[in-house]
Amino acid sequence: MTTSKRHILHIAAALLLASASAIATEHVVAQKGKAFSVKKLNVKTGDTVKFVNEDSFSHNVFSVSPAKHFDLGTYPQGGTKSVKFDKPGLVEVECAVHPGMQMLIEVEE
Amino acid sequence: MKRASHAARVLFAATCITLATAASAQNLPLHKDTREAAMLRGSVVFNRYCVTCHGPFGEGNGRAARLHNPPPANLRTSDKNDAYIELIVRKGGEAIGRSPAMPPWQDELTDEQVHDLVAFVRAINVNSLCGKGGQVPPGSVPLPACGDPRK
Repeated sequence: MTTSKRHILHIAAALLLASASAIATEHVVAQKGKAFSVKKLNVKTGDTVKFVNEDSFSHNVFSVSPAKHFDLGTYPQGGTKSVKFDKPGLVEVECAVHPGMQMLIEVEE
Repeated sequence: MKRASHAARVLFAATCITLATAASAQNLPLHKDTREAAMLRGSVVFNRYCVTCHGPFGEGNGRAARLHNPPPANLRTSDKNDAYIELIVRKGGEAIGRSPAMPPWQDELTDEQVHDLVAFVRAINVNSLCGKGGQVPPGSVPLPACGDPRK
């Protein structure tokens, strides 16, 4: 492959990456009063959700849903944790410290 | 999830029946300061806060267990004493060099709940002294041998 062709490929790859990151959205969900700020959130594949602890005590975010299973661990007031949703489906999000604290994230194509 | 919830109820019922049977066999009321009462209250705390990771029987196989490596502790076979259990419940795993996946519960649980939880965890442990001549608080009744709570 010639140097110029390689150059073009690099530029194309960079443009692809740039456009992908421009499309992906970061959603913010607060944790306040032992509840998520929204009960349901619709996101697109590739989007990120940032969880912000606005309570004075620790929270934990996890999911065991087949579409996305994760545990963001436990974090104190002011702490934030993010998770990227890379495939479509319904994701039930819970807090391990507060069993009644739940929300649903619908990841669309 | 439904199966785990059902199993948790079975464990809770089994614990209640065991304790109630032990108390009625002695023809004694279940006074709130007894170990049995603490264990009963502790089973409620366990089934609300701990069952997700540690599982309905405390064997470390709750529905969220697969998210964690190392997996949640098997409380039935754990060799840790009450002081250690209380410490890890209050401070969380990370504070004592264990898994950070175990949250600190000191802001969520009252002192009584922590005490009750420790009593319950002790009761379901196969190595516990209950029913084997261990120290019995005044007013408590001797407990049956600690077996599998599913039986």
